Amino acid sequence: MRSLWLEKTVRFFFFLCALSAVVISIGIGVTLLGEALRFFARVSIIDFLFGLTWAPHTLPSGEDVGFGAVPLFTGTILITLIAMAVGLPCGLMVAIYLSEYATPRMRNIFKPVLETLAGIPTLVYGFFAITTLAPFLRRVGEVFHLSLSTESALSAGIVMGIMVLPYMSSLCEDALHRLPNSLRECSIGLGATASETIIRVLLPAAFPSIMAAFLLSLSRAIGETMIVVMAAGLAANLTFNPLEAVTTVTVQIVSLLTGDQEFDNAKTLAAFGLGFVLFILTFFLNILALQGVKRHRRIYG
Amino acid sequence: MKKTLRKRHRREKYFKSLGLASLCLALLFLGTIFGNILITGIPAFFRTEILAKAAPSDFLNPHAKYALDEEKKWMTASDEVDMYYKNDETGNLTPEQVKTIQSLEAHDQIRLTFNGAFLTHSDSREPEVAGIWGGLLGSLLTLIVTFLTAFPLGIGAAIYLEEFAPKNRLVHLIEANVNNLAAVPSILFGLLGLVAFIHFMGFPRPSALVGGLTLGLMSLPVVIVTTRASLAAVPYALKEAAMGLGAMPLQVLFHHVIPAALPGIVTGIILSLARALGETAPLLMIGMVAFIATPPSSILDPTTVLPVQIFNWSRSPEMGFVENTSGAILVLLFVLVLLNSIAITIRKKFELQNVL
Repeated sequence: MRSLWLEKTVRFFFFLCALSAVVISIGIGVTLLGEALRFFARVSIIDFLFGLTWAPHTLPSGEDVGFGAVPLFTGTILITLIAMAVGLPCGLMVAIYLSEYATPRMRNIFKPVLETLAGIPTLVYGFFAITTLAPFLRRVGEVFHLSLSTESALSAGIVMGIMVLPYMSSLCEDALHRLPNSLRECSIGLGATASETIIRVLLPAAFPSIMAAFLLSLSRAIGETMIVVMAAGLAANLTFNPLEAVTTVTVQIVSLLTGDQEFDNAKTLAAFGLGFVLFILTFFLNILALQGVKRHRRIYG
Repeated sequence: MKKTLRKRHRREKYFKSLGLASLCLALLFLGTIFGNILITGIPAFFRTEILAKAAPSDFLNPHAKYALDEEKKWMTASDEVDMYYKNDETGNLTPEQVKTIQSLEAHDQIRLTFNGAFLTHSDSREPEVAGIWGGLLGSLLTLIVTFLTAFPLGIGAAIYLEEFAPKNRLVHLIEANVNNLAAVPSILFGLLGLVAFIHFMGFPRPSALVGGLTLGLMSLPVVIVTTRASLAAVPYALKEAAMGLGAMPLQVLFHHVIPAALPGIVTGIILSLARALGETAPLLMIGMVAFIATPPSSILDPTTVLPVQIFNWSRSPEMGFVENTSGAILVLLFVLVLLNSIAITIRKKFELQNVL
């Protein structure tokens, strides 16, 4: 009988462990929402979401001004777009090549290499962007008589694309690899070339998973911090010119919280407002992506 | 007919070479990043020294200057001399000083030695004596706390979800939650850590305890997912056999399932610790950006960790910190590669066992 009692206690302990994941999620949601609400009590949510100038400070009269986050959103979108333009096609093509063309030996060599690329801390990518890529792009720009700022959106975006690439390729590779061989055999049996099989049969079949990979990469790029903190800078320009410096939501969270650490001023609270926006955005992207993966699993086991 | 066929085959060739080109591009990126950091980082492991009796005092490191009267033959040179001797970068040196260095060079009174201090010293304002010991120790302490947080919680949660959970809505919610949590940006865990551990519980600010707890929460979903995968890979026949012999569910679990899944679990833990080791953003949120020159002696002391130290160095204006940054990144990458290869070795060995 004693062991039955033990059985129950241990099981309950395991259940509590599982519950901790939910507690963490709720914790993130509640802290962000709570602090964000305190922030919106001081700065109106309309000004925050639709204001065009970001220069947060408190006037002597006690009024908090300059909390228009639109430049941060456009900056984030711009850098993410560049990153996706680099990482997405490259990642997908690498996945197709490794899954459909490469010999088993090549796969065994290059998959760990790509995993290494995925395991590099983003801090290192950021350092690479400022010390190598940014000066290189400036030099290239000079040849074409373009002036790049040192902290251009272009260099941050390209490096972020390199970061996203292995993530995207390993997710897509899994998706392609999981497809049943009968699909390939049927298509090739009907006389299609390998590339026609891939484009007309395999990619449509794996589409939900590839979409999911895309969304997960997107959410990762949006939430990425160190690359943009090091390579993108603080200037909140409202521009879509990739040669200029822009700033992102994550950069501003870092700069707002590493400056003065008074917990009660609008600047610190603004970081939580931005964090809340980030949380909601990535949350929906993740849910959408996971739904896609689930659907794919249901069809192709 | 023949014409279209040729066209199709040509298209096939293009497509295939496009794939190969992307793969090469990815490898090129990897090569450039590694090559670049190797080239700039390796000089950090060497330092310039000058023969003490020949050295003009403005060529020496300020700390070395005070030690002049001791019987040390070779003294550490200052940052600027170091930079000139290694990379021929003049910096702020006057032409006369450059000439003096050249004459020292001609008389063999200046040399490069292995910079052991880079590994054994802690952070400093002067690049030529700054080292990464404090950061390494801080990272180790932080990772221990991370491990102690994520390991029991993660394993427990995975066991519940994989072995015991009934199929109801609460379990479904937990599962969806874990998957979603794995994709939450790390910076948000930093915000949680700031509010929960520092403002709510009042733990000392830039300590390994708070850093480790925050990273532990961040690693938890990854640990749960990998542990579940390796528990699920244990053949069902093993459980049935044990249950058929009359073992209680917990006995089946602890005597058979967990030992069989252990290599996979350990691999997952190592990989998530490696990820936590390279993480910087959440630690910036909880105030781990301060300049700390003494290595921590407990998990409550003010601590800096290696990635944060790298971040701080990368923002320093002194020339010497560029190579220090690369050098520290080299050490960080070395540790990461080490952890990854341990994980891969364990996985390989385990696969071999399964085949036998």
